[in-house]
Amino acid sequence: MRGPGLPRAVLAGALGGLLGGAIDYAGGALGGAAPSEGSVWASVYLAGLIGWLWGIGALGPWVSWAVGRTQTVASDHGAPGRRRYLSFTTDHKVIGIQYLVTSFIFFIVAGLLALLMRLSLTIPGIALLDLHTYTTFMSMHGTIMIAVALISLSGGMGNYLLPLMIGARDMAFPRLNALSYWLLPPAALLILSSPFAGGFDTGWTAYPPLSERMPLGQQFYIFTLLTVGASSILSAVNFLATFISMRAPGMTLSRVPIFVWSIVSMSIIALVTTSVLAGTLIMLLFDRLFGAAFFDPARGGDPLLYEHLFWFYSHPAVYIMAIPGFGAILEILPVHARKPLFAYKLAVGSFLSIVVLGCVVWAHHMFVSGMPEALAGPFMIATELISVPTGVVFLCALGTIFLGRLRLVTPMLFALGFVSTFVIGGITGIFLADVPTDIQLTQTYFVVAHFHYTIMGGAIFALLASIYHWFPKITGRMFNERLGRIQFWTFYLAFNGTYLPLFWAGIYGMRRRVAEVPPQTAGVNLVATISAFFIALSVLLFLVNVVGAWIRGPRATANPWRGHTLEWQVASPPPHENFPVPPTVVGGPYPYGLPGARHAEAPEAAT
Amino acid sequence: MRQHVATIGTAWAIATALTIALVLRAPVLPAVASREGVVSDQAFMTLLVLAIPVFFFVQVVVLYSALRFRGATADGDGPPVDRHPLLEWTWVGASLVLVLALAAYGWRGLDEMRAVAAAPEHAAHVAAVAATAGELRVKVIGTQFAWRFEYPDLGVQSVELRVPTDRIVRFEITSTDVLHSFWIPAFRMKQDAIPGRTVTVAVTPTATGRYETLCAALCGTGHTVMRSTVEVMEPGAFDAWIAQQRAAAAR
Repeated sequence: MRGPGLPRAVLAGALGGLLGGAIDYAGGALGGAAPSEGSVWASVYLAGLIGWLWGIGALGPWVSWAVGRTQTVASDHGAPGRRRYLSFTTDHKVIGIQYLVTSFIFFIVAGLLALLMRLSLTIPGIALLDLHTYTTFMSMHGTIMIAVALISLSGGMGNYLLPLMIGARDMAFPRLNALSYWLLPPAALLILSSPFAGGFDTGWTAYPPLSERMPLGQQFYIFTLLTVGASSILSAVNFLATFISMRAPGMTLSRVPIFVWSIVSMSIIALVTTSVLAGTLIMLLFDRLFGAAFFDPARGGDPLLYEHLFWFYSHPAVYIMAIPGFGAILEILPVHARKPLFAYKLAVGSFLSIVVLGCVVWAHHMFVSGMPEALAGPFMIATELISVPTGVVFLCALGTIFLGRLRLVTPMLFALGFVSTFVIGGITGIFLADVPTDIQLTQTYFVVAHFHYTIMGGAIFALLASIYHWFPKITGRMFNERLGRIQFWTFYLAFNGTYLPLFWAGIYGMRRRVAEVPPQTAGVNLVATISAFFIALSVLLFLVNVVGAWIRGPRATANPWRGHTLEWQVASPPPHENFPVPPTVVGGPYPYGLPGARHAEAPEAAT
Repeated sequence: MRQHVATIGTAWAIATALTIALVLRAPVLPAVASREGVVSDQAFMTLLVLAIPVFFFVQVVVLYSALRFRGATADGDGPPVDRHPLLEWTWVGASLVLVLALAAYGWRGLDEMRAVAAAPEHAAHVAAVAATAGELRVKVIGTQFAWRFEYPDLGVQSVELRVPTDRIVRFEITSTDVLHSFWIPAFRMKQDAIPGRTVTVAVTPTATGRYETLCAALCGTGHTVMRSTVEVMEPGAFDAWIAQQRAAAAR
């Protein structure tokens, strides 16, 4: 209990929370004012968070170093053996796995909420969930899934792969990396407990003035996103610093694997925009706690200001989710198509264009908001322009597989599935960027279907493709290929069976965020609900496969897919600090079809 | 190579042509009941027809490659082709032209839909226009979880919305509490209601009948049930209803 670890973290978190709450309460009482519930709970959370971080071991070494007790901040290998996954460790590969497992657990939690919502929608009337419970579950589903999509690929695969791919021993700031992961469990606990604090009826967008009238559950939402946002900023800084300063000799910018470029692009967006969301949420919090009146029109505030600020982050956030997906898919396709990535430089250029364009399209969420009409045209053009760099991703994908020697293993199926589903997300986006059609379609299930095609058809397909592709590298074991293919086909069909009908629901007048199905859309909704349960079945098959294979799958070789990038040139799983001998990069990352050509001088012969 | 391109091209052309023929015959969109709605529906159908070739291009290339370029377990790699500047720049150029054309088309559509709704910000100007143009002004007031309506030039207040055909109806939309969104799906018209602010939007109903009015912005627990109807009437019937409302109010 005295050393850092989970028991100390839980205890210190609880004690910190109690202390913080008590001080706030006492301070309020001494000041003569009745302490507000919101302010007390804010203090409980912030003090509890600090207690938790100290308890887990995130803060101690920095404090020792700051007061001069030690010369350096040592890296920290955590507990030995499997227990290291539950401890504070600075090893980027352990942190990557922590991110992956945590985000998958929450993918399942939010998925179960979605199943409850689908059931409730399908049973006539408002039977299963009452209106408030439905809306709170819907809001939690959205908030949790956004967080999952934000962190799973970038936090999980990014942390695991980026140092390996650029030939580094770890991230530039290993301790900061661990801190950005350990910020997440308190945030997760907070969002899950929001129903016990009255929930929140606002969706994940939390528009005021409604969000200023919601019970304490709304404040839990605010602190959840603030914590996830802080974590996101820290890891973005870390990725950029690692990319800039830790590349192996010879790893010039045109030899960097495309997945690394996607993490870099994602990090730039996260760094530029996340603090705007943080500021906005703090303004919302101040409105709630102190009547600051930033957004409440009754006090002279402006709710449209919130919408602008919120979407200034939250639209780019879509690209924080999507670009790592693009990168992962373009990384996986060449390996299994046995062909170099087509138009590599154009792909890098398209990621960087998305970074820039993605920051100037936010108001397409607001065409019917009452903002000045003069803004509609320019934002429509900017939004539609972003389909040019997104189209380049398709050119690269199709150009890579055309004339290849395709190996249709599970990760390749998911990568092709991504190309096939994401295009639907892309073209339906044009309907929502075009003002005359958006006026009708916005705030309907057309939007729900569209963003599930982009985020689930994009980021989650890419996540599954990545997990299969790098599973032998990460675990040193091989998954069951037959089960993997069955899982792909159930997932692909069930995914399309769920979301394709919902476009019709939207066109025929079903509003998003309602707890009942309009009678004219009952048929398509029934299809969607049944298919949603097949998605759940498919996820179950996935879990059976990866958990089973992790425990007792056949041993994988170092380079089962015969890839050229650096992560395949070390053992599976890679040794601590990755490279026994630092590698030297001598060529591009995808020299397929060129006998004898190499990306790197192998430091250790791949078996 | 030429063979592959020819097969892909043929499959793509057939799938595209058949699907376009199908969607042009099928009832893709629900009934429309306003002049502005026709513009929106035309835009939807145009985008749909343009989306179909893009959709099939991607699907056909993926499917063809998966079937035709299966490498099985052979050790050989594909050809080391990693760039094709002409194809790359044609792709970028073509998508840029397509996108700019779509944007121009969208901008024109917006102007067409809003031709009757200039300068919405200034109440005085709106009132002046309404007085001269023979428009019907209707105040729409959202409150959790219902709408109410006022006809300021006619001195009528109502919880029911009725409008005449073939006359510009200018909705002046506001809210008393939180954000709502006033949506009449059959008119293809939607506008958020903001407390403390009035936003106007104009439509011209064309077909008599009873249509849904819905709140389209999540406004709290009762958002789901914030729905009612609008009745579009012949002008004569509408005037009779107004007279009846006035008489009822006078009593």
